[in-house]
Amino acid sequence: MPDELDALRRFRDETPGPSTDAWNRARAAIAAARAEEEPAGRRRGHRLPGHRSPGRIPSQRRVLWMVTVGVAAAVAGLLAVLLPGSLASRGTGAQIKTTAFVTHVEHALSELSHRNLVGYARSEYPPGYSAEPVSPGGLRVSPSTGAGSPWNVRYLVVWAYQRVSKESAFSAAGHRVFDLRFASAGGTLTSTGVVYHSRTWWRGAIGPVPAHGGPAPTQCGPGIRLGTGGWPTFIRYELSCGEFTKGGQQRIGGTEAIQLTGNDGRETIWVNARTYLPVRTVFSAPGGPQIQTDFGWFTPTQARLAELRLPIPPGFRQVAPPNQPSGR
Amino acid sequence: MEGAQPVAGNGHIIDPADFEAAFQQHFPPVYRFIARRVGPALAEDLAAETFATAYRRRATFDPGRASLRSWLYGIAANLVRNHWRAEQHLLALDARLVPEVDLSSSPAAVDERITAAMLAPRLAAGLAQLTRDQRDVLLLCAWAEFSHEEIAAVLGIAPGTVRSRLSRARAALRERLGDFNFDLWTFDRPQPGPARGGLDHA
Repeated sequence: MPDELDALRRFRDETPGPSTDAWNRARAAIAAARAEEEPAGRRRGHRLPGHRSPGRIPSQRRVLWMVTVGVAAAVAGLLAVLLPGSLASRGTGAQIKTTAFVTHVEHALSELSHRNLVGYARSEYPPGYSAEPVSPGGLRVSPSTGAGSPWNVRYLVVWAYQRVSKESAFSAAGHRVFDLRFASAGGTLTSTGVVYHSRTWWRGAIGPVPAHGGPAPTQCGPGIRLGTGGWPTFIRYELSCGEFTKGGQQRIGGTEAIQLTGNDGRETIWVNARTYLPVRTVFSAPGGPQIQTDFGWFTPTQARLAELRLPIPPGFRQVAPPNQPSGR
Repeated sequence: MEGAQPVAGNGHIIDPADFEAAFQQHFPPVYRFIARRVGPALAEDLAAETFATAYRRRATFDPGRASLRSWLYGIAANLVRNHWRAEQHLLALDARLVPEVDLSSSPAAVDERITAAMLAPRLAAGLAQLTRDQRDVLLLCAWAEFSHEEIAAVLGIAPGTVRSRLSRARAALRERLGDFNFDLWTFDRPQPGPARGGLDHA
């Protein structure tokens, strides 16, 4: 006879198994544990099968990538993940494409509010990079100052729903470095940050919430605002402008995707062949690292909405928001 | 039940290859157990930490005293216990929100799905009211399908203690389910719709 245990077995039974991210994070944590007990000279030959080999960062890449987030409203975090250095190249030909791409992503998630989807993005950085909040809406991604820097990050994860997004930075060992949540309140975009190594948190205002939408695109070039067609419309429009060249079709993470290559060779986007929503992007900052971002688009569930929570851990001390210069 | 047998020839996981085999075998169910308790994002952290901890402590694992599976779940259970507030918050959400019901499957499964959706808020509320000890025992039994003896090994307590905690937990949950008819697998009376919580932006 069925009983309460049978009922309980069905509860949350739809919970999926580990994603590729979860596997990778666990492998990174195990690798870190292994590294703790091995002499430095022996580390190379003891990778777990399937563990990704870290890339090399040439020493001359001592370039600062500064990302100023302010154009993206609730998806500011995602832009920071996607485009280190992109906004520093204003006025160049590349900037035209970059601005357009920023607008793509901005509106892609903005459009989700109409479609009621939860957006997820994970960006992986090569070893040797740090990410640090430098203002309520700004994140600086740069070569790390050393292996012991508390700001060293290996990957960033973004969850976004309607006009709220949360970005979480993780170390190679899978520990949280910081969380940033962006939300609008009374027409003002605000951010909340929690920094784990210093056990501090802050909250600050970024500015008025930018309006989304606007007329349909009528010309190619920078500053294009998207119409109501959202990401799919804009992808098609961008192709017609010649900013991206459509490539072949392939499966990315189980999704049939179309490859779009930026004409400057720095950006490649794979979009879902059916929905045209982005599945993956690979972006190479000028003189900087190649960063891959994988996207997910989900229906909202309690668990996914819970990803947007940012509880202040007990004992953490409130401090003023960071207010550092935008460059070094 | 997955992974009851040790993966290594002698049951030990000292050798990196044996540990890798153990990781491949046990990571999915351990991750899923944690994710059901605290949600997928935190589960990624805790599942990773479970296996990193297991790696650090692998020399202490004695296959003569406990199965590898119960040893790993013991590490996971300890880590989950440190995130009581997160688990409580998720249960509170589940207790308030209407779960998604996918009615696109076969017609025969629709009723079951609707019933499961009606049960979920009560189950969540019931779990939220249990003590940590009771919840650990109950979920190791229901979700990981451990025997009383295995749960005792996982938690490092006596089998008799497992039985008494499980008995109390089941009684509390059954009381919470109230007029649910287990024979017919439905409620005897129509249920009022659960209140929508503040996270529902729609």
